[in-house]
Amino acid sequence: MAATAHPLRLSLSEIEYRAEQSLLTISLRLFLTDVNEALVFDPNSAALAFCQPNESPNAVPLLLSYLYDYFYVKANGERVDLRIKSKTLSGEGANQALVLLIESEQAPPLRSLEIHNTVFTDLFFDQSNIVYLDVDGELKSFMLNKETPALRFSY
Amino acid sequence: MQPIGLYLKLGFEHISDFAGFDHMLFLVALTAVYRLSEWRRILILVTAFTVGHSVTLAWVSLSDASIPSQFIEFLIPTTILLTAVHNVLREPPDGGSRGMGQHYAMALFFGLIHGMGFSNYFRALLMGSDSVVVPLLGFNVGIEAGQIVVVAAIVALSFVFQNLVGVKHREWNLFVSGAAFGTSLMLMAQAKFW
Repeated sequence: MAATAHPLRLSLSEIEYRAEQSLLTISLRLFLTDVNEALVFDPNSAALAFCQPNESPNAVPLLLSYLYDYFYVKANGERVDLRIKSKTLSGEGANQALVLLIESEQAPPLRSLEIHNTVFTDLFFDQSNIVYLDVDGELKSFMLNKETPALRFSY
Repeated sequence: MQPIGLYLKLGFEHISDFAGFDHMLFLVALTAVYRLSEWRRILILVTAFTVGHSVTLAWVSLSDASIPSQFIEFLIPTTILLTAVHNVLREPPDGGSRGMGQHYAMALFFGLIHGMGFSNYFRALLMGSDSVVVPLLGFNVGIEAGQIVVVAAIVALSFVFQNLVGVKHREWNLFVSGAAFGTSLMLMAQAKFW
């Protein structure tokens, strides 16, 4: 939240695996002010203009470069390629979120999954990153932060 | 952990640490001017605030209503400032519930405003996700539980100053309301939207 008075620092990632479709889907929701703070050190910057007609050609490479360090998913020990299938904006004003959809082929069987999410913990001590995990219909949810940066599962 | 539990914990932690100090400051302004013996009034005030919070929660999450967040961020410290001024100008009457209607109505109305901040934020984060209602409900219940802890601490502090230290009720009211007034004025200046 952008207000100085009542900061609530969250991001949400929804990770879904479907063995039948050999597909791993990641939906990552990040507040735009936090993204701007992380990438160009100004929460209200219009320089990158995500999802706008004048979106900067540097916007996605900068974001992926940041995510490389702070967000990754490993399936069977291999890092999943974060190729953005689509990106949209949700909400308005200071509460606008950038929604990234990432899809990756992942042939079964899924033996292990590692989720590392420390986005914006380098900026905010109280950043919490919510993770919803759905593996073939089995739903789980977690909270990652500075103290608990990663989750590991074996199947 | 199921999502509702996760959001409940998030709400509780958010309100009961100093990160949520504007919300906490509102509770201070709302309840610190009452004596421990007036616990029924405190309970009704906090309940009215909670009802307001919950109404906004349901409204924003179940409709397409949208209020500009900059406006809400300005309104929240405004509610603190108005509560502080109200404490000084219309000090709660002694005893019983008579003459308290205005105080309860104010708590209810200001609860509506405070609830908007969280609702807008969560809707942006969860829009298109499976459900906005369950996380919002969990977060709100966590907030309310945290409020009980905060209000208990405020009432205890108020008791110490008025009953053990011997600060007069009117002086305590001026002290608390003055502090809330000054802080909220600074927050309003930071959040001005024009």
